Amino acid sequence: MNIEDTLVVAKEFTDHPAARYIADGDEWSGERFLNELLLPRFTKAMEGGYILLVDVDKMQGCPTSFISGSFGVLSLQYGSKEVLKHIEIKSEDNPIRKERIIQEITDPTNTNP
Amino acid sequence: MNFQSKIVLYIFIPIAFALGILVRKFSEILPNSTFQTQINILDLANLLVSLLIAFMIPFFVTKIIEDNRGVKACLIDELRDLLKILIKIRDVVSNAHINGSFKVADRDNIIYTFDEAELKVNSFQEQIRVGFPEKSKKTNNKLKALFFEYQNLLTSREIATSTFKKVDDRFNRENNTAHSKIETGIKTIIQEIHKF
Repeated sequence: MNIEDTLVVAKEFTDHPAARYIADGDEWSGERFLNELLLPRFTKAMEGGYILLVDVDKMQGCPTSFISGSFGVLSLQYGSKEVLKHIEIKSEDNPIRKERIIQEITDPTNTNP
Repeated sequence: MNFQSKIVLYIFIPIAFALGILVRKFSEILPNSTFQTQINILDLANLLVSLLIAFMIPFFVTKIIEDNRGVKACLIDELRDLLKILIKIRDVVSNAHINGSFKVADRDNIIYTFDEAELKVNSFQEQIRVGFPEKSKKTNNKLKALFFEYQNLLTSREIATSTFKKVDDRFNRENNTAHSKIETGIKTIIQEIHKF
């Protein structure tokens, strides 16, 4: 499968994500990111049989709350295997960030849906 | 040519030749002295091996020991820097507890400082993979487990919500305990690196 779509979080959403849920009171929550961008683009990638590249570079931090509210919830909905099949994470500035996201997708223990 | 090679070439070798000439001259002065002209091949081999070892130790063995020490020092420096960054994070929560309020700026400060800490962990990971590849996987996994646990506490739970406005005694204690755990874990890794 090829990469046919790229979602640059810092440009298309925010470079300073914070909370997990919209109800947490922060504008740039993981839930909002999931609903507005990640889920629709992931669904398209799944239906189209391609990979969505999610670029998390150039962000001023990436808290666990944001990762679990977006990627964690996605993994709970679709299963980690399906998510990892259609999503690739790019984090050249900070490889640890990529590891954290993949870990959350693989084992969404920080997520309370 | 490095300093040690120059010492060998310009000092030791000429001295060895000069000593050889002096011994020959003494043998002429002392007429009753004789030299054994037959060489025992085992004695010669013994001499050559001794000379080889004498040269190998400063060039190779010492170099390996010093390079090893240098690599360990770099790794330990990275971990000490990481400890300093983690103290900054702990203190954001502690100070908020003292001040009686936790602001959005405090939360952002924690997030950004964890980002800085992640870069330090990345740096350590890369360096240990080069310096001690056989030890890197176990050490990196241990460090990441400690790091993610502390990071999850301070960027995932109630502290990540906008309703979190105050650090109570319970959370402050939790923060101190968690920080102590990661600090001890990192210092243990430092001890392990010394023994590599």
